[in-house]
Amino acid sequence: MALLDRSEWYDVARATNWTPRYVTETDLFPPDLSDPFGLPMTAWEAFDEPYKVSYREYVKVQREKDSNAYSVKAALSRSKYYDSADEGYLSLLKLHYGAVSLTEYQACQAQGRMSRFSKAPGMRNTATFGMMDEMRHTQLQLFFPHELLARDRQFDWAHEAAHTKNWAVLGGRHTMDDIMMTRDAITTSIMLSFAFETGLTNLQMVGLASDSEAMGDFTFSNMITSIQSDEARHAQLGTPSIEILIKNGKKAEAQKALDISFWRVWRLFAILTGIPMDYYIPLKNRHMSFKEFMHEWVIKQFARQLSDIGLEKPWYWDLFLDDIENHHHCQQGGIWSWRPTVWWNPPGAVGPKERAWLEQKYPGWNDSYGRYWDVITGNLLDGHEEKTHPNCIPVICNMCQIPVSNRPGPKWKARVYQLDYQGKRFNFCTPVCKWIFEQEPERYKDFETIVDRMFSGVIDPPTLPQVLIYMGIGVVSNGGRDGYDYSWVDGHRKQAAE
Amino acid sequence: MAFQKVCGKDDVWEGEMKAFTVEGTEIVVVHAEGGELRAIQSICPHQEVELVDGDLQGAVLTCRMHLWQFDVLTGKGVNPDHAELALYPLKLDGDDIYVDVAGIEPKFAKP
Repeated sequence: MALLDRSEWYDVARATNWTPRYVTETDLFPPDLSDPFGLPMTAWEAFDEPYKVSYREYVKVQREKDSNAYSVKAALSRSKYYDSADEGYLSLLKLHYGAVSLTEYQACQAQGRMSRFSKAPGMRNTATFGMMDEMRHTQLQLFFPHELLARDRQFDWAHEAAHTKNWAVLGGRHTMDDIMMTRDAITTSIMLSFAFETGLTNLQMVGLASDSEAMGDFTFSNMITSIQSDEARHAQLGTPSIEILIKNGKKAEAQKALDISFWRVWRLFAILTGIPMDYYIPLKNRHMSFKEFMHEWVIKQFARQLSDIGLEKPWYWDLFLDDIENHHHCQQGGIWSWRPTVWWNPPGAVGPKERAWLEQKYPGWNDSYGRYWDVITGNLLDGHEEKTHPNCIPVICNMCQIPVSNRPGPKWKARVYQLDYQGKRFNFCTPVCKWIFEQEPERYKDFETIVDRMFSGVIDPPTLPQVLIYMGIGVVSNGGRDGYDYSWVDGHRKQAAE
Repeated sequence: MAFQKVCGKDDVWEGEMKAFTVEGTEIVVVHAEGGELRAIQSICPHQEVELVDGDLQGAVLTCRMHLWQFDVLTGKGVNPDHAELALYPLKLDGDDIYVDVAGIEPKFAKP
């Protein structure tokens, strides 16, 4: 039987809006779940997803991709790669799986809500495919690390992280709940599809695939590329939404949704991508610094995409550029110092050669972050490992849930931005996190940070052993230790002896 | 600027593509099935991924990363159809391939 070409029937098949007679339009599409901007159905019918696919094509292509991915997975059980893999690189993988695997499942639910509640037939159609894409991404990123469980229990966080209250998980979940689990269909398409996927993570996945290829881990690289190949379909959901909003006089609303979500995702992204690029990947395998990656890929492309669709750079662009120089260096220091609280083994990895590289890529590193590591290195050289574990509790940002920190040294920038609201004091890491809170305090005000929970009685007694159990450490797997067992200090020891 | 010799015709077999740098500009020479030769921009208009790593079937080039598809003969996007590749003038002199990159910039498309 001859088939019509997709272009001959696509527009007709996609026109699935109708006039409800038994319920009101508001009952069918409640504004809080659908479109709080109040655009008529006809405005949304102009939604046109540029990358088109039929269900028949979808099944054919996805079947081929899956059979490739699963044959790579089958080979993994015989692979010796992970027996001798670099511990820093393994940390990258554990961090990735713990942070990403079930976040893909959240994205699946977000796509599901867009496919139900959007007034745009094109969005409903594309989000249906997107829902299946994200389900596939969840399954792949659970199935691959499952193979590694026998060698290292920390890989269990791929599945368990989302079911714990680990501080790093709380940070990720707060953001993801904010941008994709608790928004209407239209805002979700801007926050998730445009700011999160198009703006940041699709680029990150391209970089991650090439990093793992450089590490000789073709299994992971193959899996990431297979996942990424689905993204053109559903990551395009945001662009037509933004264009329709602008056309109907709602540019400010679209811009605000973008500004909120881009910052929220950036704060996580720098930890997930920046730390591994500049600290976890062994020096000889690094092909660019995180800062170079951000400028060459994200900033250039994102700025062009924004202007192409008619939006402006977020108002905090200068603060964002400054954060690229600082945020992940701070968090590398923090995560390493509180290493027993995480599910990977973060390497300090600041031996003399690594420090020279950091100074070259981030001029001034030695005189700022270097000073922090000077103290740690000194303690390790003197045999005082116990002094490298802090006895204090960090101040946590009430928005991003990440410890408040900034540049140390002579150009000291660390400070907290505070707000008193309804008798309670809220702390923020930057003016941007504070601004996001101020946009909708009722939305955010009741969330307790991990430190709040130590004082409010949620973590009882608030002792270190109890805090660790609360965070899943020693429950799901052991917590972290220095990935290289302090061998990076040897270079400094030699230098000191000479 | 004018036509520069890039390679010999035998360097890019039918059904293959190869990347070259011409006066600082990255290009890909494509030898489509049927014998047609084209010089196209090296990166995908979507997210700047190298097109030479993609898949060529007939005259349709599929980018490896997000499966955007282009007709290399015309440069037009197949899916999505709003995208387009920049084509550089190409000529054959005997068995040598010449390309002129002057004044042509890679094209980008909305995500």
